[in-house]
Amino acid sequence: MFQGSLTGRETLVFYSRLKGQNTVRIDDLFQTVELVEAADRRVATYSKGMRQRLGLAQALIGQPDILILDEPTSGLDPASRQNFFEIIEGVKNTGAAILMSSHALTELEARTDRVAILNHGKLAAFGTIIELKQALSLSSRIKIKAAHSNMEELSQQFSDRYSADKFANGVAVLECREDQKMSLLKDLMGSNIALESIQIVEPTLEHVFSAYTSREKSQ
Amino acid sequence: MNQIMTIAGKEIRDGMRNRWVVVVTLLMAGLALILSLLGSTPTGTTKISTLAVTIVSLSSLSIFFIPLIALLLSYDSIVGESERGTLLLLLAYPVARWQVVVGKFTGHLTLLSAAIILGYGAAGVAIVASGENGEMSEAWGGFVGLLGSSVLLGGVFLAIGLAISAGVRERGTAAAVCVAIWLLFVLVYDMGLLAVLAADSQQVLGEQLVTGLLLANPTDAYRMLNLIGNTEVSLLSGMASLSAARDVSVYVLVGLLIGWSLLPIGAACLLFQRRPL
Repeated sequence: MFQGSLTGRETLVFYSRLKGQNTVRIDDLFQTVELVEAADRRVATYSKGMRQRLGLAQALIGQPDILILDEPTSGLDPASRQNFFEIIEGVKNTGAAILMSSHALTELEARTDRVAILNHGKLAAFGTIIELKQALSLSSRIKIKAAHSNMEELSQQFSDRYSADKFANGVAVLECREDQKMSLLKDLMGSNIALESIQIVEPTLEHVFSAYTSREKSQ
Repeated sequence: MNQIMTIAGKEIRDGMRNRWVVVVTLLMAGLALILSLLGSTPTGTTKISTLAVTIVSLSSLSIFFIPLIALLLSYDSIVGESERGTLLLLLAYPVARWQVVVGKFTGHLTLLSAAIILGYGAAGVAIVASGENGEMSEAWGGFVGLLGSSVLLGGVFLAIGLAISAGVRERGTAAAVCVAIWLLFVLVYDMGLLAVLAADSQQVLGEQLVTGLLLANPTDAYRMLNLIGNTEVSLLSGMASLSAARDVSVYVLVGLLIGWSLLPIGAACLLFQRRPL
């Protein structure tokens, strides 16, 4: 994407000029993407992550109102990934719209306002992650650990909702819809049966994604 | 205008960085010096100045040399960026495709002009420094003309290379087409013309037609521009006897060379506009 023979600074100066922007803000951009020490090195010597960050700096020239980023975190180490999302957060707070495509769904989950799922080039779903989960009625899973004797008690108490074999071993995994979750938890806590631990596994964006794409396939 | 200058500036920087200017300038200076030193030996006691000899030999050399380096400089400019992936990002910026073409041409022409003027200029200075004959003032005009026309000739082939670069899909193809174009204009065309003239013993072809055929090739226009412009030089080169060449004015020749640059630039813009990314 960038010419290796130019330094990072020359690259940004070139693109700033093309955008008709003042080149004095370039130092700030290097500061933002943490490339200050590498600014005067040739781009050919940059690692993949550094090029990626230079790409972000290039996209930030002139404070754009909309940023379209394609797989922006590929090739970034965890620390720069963190830094990347901080920068994006900052840009978002200035009022810019950011459209980002990614296959790394887990890292998007906590950071996106809305997601669009594309399947074979068609829009399969669009909305906030909570909306999408509700629309699919994906169930949360509640994982309980308890002693064997207590498990038996539990299986009797919840026999109206779950079959007894769910509680067979020391671990029970109970699936429940979003609207049933609170009452189930209340019942669990109120039952006075000693539990070793309780863990709630929410459906992830990954689940949402595969639900939408596989639904398309089956149609 | 700003966009064009930005792109031209980047091309110039690239040319300096990869030592292109230095290498080509040294090459040109070296060749010009060798020719001028050799040129000063056979003059002996004739009244032809060393500079005139140098102009004849340098212009003959330039006909081969300048188109080649011009094509080498420009053939990669668009297809190369496309292959390296830098073109995609460049065109995402607010810059029109024709501005890219004109900017690159401007940058390359600046680089080539610098190499020609510095390289050949060095030879001119060397001749003056050796300073044997005083009546060189007339030949000086010819020398300046040589520099100017060499820049024009370079511009023609830079533009042709750019059009090729915009029109083909792969660098290898661009290089092959450039070699073919170079052979055609520099060697094949003149040989063909010579063969036709030799076969035409009945003089079926009028003088007008021969002149027209000569003018159709930019390298021949360049040759005529340098060899007829100056009586001393044309006597020396034997061009004076070619009646066809005498009727063409310098302005027409300069105009032709400029036209030969503008036409391929236009073609490059059109081809680039239609080029899929």
